[in-house]
Amino acid sequence: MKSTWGISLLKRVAYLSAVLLGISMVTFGLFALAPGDPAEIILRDRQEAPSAESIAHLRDELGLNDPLPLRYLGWLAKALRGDLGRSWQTGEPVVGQLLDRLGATLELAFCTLVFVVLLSTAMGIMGAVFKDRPTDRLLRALSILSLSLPNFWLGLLLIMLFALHWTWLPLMGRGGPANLLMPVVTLGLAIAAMQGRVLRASLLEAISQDYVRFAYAKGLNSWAVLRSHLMRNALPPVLTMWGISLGHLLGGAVIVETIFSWPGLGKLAVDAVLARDIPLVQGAVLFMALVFVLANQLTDLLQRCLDPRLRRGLDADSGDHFG
Amino acid sequence: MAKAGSCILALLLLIGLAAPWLAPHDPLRTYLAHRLEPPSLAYPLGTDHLGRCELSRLMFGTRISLWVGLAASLLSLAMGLLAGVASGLGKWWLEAPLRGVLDIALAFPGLLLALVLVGAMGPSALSLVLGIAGSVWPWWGRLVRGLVMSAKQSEFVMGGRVVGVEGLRLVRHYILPQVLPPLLVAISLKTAWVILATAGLGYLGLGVQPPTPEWGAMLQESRMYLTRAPWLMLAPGAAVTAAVLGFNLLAEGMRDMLQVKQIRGW
Repeated sequence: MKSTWGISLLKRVAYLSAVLLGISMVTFGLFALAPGDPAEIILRDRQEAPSAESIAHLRDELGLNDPLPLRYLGWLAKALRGDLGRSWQTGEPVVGQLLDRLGATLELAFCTLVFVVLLSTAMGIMGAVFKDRPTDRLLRALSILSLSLPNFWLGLLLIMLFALHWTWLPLMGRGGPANLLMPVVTLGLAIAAMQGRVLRASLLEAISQDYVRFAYAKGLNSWAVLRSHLMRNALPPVLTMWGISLGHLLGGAVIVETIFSWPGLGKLAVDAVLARDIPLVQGAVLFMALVFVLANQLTDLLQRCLDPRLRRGLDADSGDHFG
Repeated sequence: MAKAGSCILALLLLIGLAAPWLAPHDPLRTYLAHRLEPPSLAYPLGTDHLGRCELSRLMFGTRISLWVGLAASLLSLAMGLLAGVASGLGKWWLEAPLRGVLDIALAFPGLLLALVLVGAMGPSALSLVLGIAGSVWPWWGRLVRGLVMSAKQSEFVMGGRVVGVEGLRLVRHYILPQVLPPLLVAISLKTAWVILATAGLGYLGLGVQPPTPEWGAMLQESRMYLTRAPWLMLAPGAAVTAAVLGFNLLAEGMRDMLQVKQIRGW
């Protein structure tokens, strides 16, 4: 028994390494193949007139004249030692910049997750308890609306109302708990709406099971049934969603961080892409993908521990793409 | 609900198609004497920071959003269908590498891959379509693969096999009918997401470049004038919401009508 565990764990680690290798290739290849000469871009950034000579010199200095596979291997070898090169804009090491931004992204991600868990649980339970009654219909309409609200618009609306009109909340940036409020709601509302729906469906599916009727027949009241029978069975799919959304949130909320000038990884990636700061883009993308894959793997392991029946196959509803 | 959704979408399609005739002004004509004017009879939604008619820009913006949305959605569906069917039905030597490619492509969270793809190709309508399709297709691949695998194991398909149906005929007459309803729901949901992504990238400055009117870019421009001209921010956001809501409602209605259980959540 123990040895099969070991083997399956080994297999998983091997497969994961292969996936990570693929990720690194994609990450490196994306911008290496992009049009435009990086040397020229850097020179323009430094306000120098790019002459043929200075371009050739800089290309040589950056190693851009080597063939692509060689450049990739060099980059990978350094990346494995924790060196992702230096930003073309600032000249600072990329790893340092990523770690600087990690704190802000972690803060936003965990606070949003708490908000999502609380709101989606409340919505899911209310929806299931009041199934097809006005409360449920209202919740359903609200959740479809929340899913359709673009977060960049929601963010601007909140800014306009709470920061500019009433000036209750700080406009942007990171600071105290008040700074968190608008980004968390903007980021979490759609995710909470979606997960509330999943929890509702999951609860309703559980309600129709025989063990629930048996629990009622035993004379348990609704609350006891909900707590000790329903939630336990409805929880695994919802837990998976929480895990995956944490991965997404950690991967950087690209748009929301930009709206609120939140100094996290997502904003770093956007700024780097816009400035065509290729080492920084590569570093940020690699880092976020790594965090995302690891979060998903942890969720998967957790789910296996919680749900021994674990069905394989159809996992399309595990809800990716939060944007 | 499907009705409400299709009404919204039909209306948007109509506005997009008839924009040259419906729009009260030229969406590109700047008129600095009339900058940041509040809504009036001449300019029903006011004017922007260059004195351009907001309503006309909004109407022409419908074209980009719907065009990019549908094109990226269908392109990614085609790619994902190919990959999904091949890895769901193919031989092991096809299945394993395809699964690997899907897993690699699925490892980039949210908008990240689209952001980088569009950034690498340089902002334009075409790179929006390609970049978004390039980041969405693995999602389709995995969905289709799962649907095909579970259809393959259904008694219905086994029955077909027993009587000797094989290959393309099996796919067309036995597997496709089971896979189609969830796919239709997913297409509508994913198009909603793609429209959000298009406007989102436009907001980040990676969409169609100015002066072409695009909803996301219009929102980005309105940011500077949130207190002076709030109407500039309300209209494009409401337009994106309407388009996304249309597809979400359509999906919701189809889900109920076709009794699709596989695709929950979104």
